[in-house]
Amino acid sequence: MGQLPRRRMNGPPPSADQIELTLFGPGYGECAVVHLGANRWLVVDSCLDSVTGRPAALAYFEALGLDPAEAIRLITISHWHDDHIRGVSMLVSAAPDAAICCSAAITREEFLSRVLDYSRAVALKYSSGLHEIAEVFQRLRGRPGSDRQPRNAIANRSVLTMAATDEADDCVVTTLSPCDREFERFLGTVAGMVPAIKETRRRAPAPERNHLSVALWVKVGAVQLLLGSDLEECGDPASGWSAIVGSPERPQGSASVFKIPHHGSKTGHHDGVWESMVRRSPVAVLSPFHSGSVRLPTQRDAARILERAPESYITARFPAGATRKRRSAAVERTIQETVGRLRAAQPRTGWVRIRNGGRADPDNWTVEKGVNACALSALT
Amino acid sequence: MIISTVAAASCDEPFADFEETAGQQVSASDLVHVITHELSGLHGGLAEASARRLRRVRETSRDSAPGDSTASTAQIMDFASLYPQRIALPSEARATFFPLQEWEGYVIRVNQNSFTARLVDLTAGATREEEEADFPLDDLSDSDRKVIRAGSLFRWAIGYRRAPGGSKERVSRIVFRRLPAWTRRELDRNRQDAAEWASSLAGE
Repeated sequence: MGQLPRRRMNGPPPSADQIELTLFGPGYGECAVVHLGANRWLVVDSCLDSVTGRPAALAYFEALGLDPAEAIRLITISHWHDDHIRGVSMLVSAAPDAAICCSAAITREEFLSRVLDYSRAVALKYSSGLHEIAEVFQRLRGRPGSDRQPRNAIANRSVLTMAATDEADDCVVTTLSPCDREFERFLGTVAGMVPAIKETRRRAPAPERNHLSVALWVKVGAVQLLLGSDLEECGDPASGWSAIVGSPERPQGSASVFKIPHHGSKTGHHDGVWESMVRRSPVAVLSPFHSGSVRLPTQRDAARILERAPESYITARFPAGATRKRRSAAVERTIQETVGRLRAAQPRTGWVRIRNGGRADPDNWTVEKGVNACALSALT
Repeated sequence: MIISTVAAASCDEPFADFEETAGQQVSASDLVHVITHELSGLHGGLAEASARRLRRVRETSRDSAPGDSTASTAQIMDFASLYPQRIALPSEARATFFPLQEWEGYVIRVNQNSFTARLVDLTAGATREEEEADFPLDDLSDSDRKVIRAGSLFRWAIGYRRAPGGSKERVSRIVFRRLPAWTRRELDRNRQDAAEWASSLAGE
């Protein structure tokens, strides 16, 4: 397995038969860009580059000299957390012909009511997850006919199928979740989001559970990738990773590349995934998460992952630490007196690119890292 | 007209426009002018609510001084209840605030003695600067402590306050946005729109 020194994000795009997964993660956001062959791309979620404020995926396509409108075939919104969806509406605008895939639960009237309640309630400097959802669906409603209909993500459903070409293998993208139980649970939590009449408007509360997350199985020819989103495991055989591992209908095979779920947390871990869905010692990649006192992955998480996948990478160094920004002496003194110190909410946007050797060498994966990314072993 | 103003930040306007004023005398027509000017900066339901208040002010003005829109009226108005969002008034001697740094913040979590908030640097220019901090609850006013919860929005500004006499002090001000409450009418409207969106997205 080859590795190259850290390099800039631009450079030649993958060749028509190369498969690629590039993961972006500034530490409060994640976006996966997958080359399916023949300049056909899948984008999963969205995050904003910490310097430019643009969606990381669009910046990447620009760096490669590709037109997102031509390249992107499918945009998957894995769930509506702020950290997985920022800028996705810009992505949808940039790729007006791309299909959209999301859980059917978020196109239900009950959830859309909450989307409108909170997105119309207050204008924010930077968008929330619900603001982004509102923007995406507004754009979809402007599309003609069946193009406006999102492809519903449910367990074991193929949401994108593309035939082989002279240059590239056939491709199937399958959603592995959410399961029926999580669908119903989610609608129950939506009921708890209803604003009360005469309640002061506020930003939408962050969802507590990730069980509605859409995990994906990507198969290009004989190569398979598992994208774990933020899906967690709670020990219920009918939900989370247990439901996926135990499903006789799920796609069979072993993934060569694994996007670790939920920022490497122990709640995103399931032994069965490693034993039955991922090949021995895959190439693994994850993005960190830092908010308040929550920091993922912990050192213990990193050690657990490295036992299974010694070739693991993380998109940004962690923790972010104190804020990078230096302000005037008067402001710094006042910050010190008021809150002690400010924490940077995220480190600079990082990326890890994993590309194979094409049809000639499909199992030879080359890993490139952006400036802030590193091997996961550096954290232990 | 004696007006007590409440300084409150709106989304798009710099904090420097918000000034505390007590005992300021203005005419009803001044008040109408100010509210009309500010409506253009509001959004959706906020503009609607403020328009209703504006109509009440105009009606009150007409009733008090028919045919003379510029006459001062000896009305005592609790301005905070009429227009709780924002006001910028023409004035002579008043304390002024010069911001050095501003953030828009929202509460992530309310702890026992503090609250954790995410902050968006409004003076960062083109770059995105998001930070987090823990603020002591003791620093908040009693009224703010009553309303604070996860999702509450506020504006934090650091700067210098200059008193009419010329003295200057460095201040840190946290102002929670007193956004209007949700109304039954808008929740019902959102529900109707959501039904239409769901049908549209289902291809119906």
